[in-house]
Amino acid sequence: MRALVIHAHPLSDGFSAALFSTAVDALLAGGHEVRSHQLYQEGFAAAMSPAEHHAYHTDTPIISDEIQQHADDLLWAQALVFIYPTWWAGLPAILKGWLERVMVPGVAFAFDEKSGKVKANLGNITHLVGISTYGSARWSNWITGDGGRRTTLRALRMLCPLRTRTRWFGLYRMDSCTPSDRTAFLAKVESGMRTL
Amino acid sequence: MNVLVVYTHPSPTSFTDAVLQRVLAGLAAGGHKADVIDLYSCGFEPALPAEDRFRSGDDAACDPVVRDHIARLRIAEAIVFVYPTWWSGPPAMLKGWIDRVWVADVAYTMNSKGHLRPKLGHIRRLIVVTSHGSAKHVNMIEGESGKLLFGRALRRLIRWNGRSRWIALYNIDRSTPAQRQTHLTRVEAAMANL
Repeated sequence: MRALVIHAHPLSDGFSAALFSTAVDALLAGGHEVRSHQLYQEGFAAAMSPAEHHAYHTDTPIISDEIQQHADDLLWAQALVFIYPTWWAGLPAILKGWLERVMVPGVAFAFDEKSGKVKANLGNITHLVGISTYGSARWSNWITGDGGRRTTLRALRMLCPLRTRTRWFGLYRMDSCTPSDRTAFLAKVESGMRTL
Repeated sequence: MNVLVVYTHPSPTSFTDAVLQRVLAGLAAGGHKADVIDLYSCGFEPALPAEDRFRSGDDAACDPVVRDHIARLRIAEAIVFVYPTWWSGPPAMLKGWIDRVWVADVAYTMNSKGHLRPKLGHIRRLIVVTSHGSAKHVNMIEGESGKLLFGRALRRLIRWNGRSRWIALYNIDRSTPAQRQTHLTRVEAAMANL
């Protein structure tokens, strides 16, 4: 399978980076092809610029080689894997910005001129995977609704084929969990990605 | 009331800008004092840097723009967010503002058990004015993560008996001018009766 891994954490040597390298290595070990982007380390701009917003509704919504590369990778992939810390019940701004800047008309979807409806365009994606760490407990995220998980698994799934499978890996209470909890979580991610 | 208005849109000629004007007109009519933060025009950097992840809002090493916004948040009695909903939530620019400004010792403190304790008790109203490209039922399938963020995760940090309100225009891509006018009128009236 072809997998695109998107990682959003400012530290290059923390637990999130370990999740990233574990996932990538496991995918490769499982015989999958991998492309990846570490948004912070690449210096990806989080916010859609005024020029990009202006281009959004034109025939050429992509105005830089950088975003074109991300869009090509997205349309190349069969599995889309997001690795990020959940901040305020959602995606870090840089990852939210990735959706806004890369998933533009003509890439993730198309506007149907006649009906004005959105037509899905991610027919290539068969697997959506989220791997996230949380400061708070699972019950607390259940109450606040876990918007990040909803965005990555539910909102994006609307652009993928009906048969697309979703998978979620969450490590809760990051600040008080034990080293063995972390190791167990890494092992779970490793086996999940190897057998994707 | 002292009202902090946090406005997010990259274009100065958008419908969201028209909404902002009506928000300000409504607040003035209601005798409120508005303080506007325009995230795009103030050059806010939304990506939380590594060194700020566990930094207190009182730390002098914070970005001066962030410190200025923290000072303005601390004297607010009401907060109004004006933004377009993208990918079922606030734009990255606004999500980054929450990631960087709603930090420890500003929005919350941690007690000895590691539980979050609200610290924005001076805020009595939390209002979101937004527009969605898609219809209400599509947003429900997508999970309405933006509505949950403000209505649940952030709502619990303001005064315990404070009120939050969600004022949204759905299906804006296929809305008629009359529907948009109705929305603007509703926004202005809501702001006058905060």
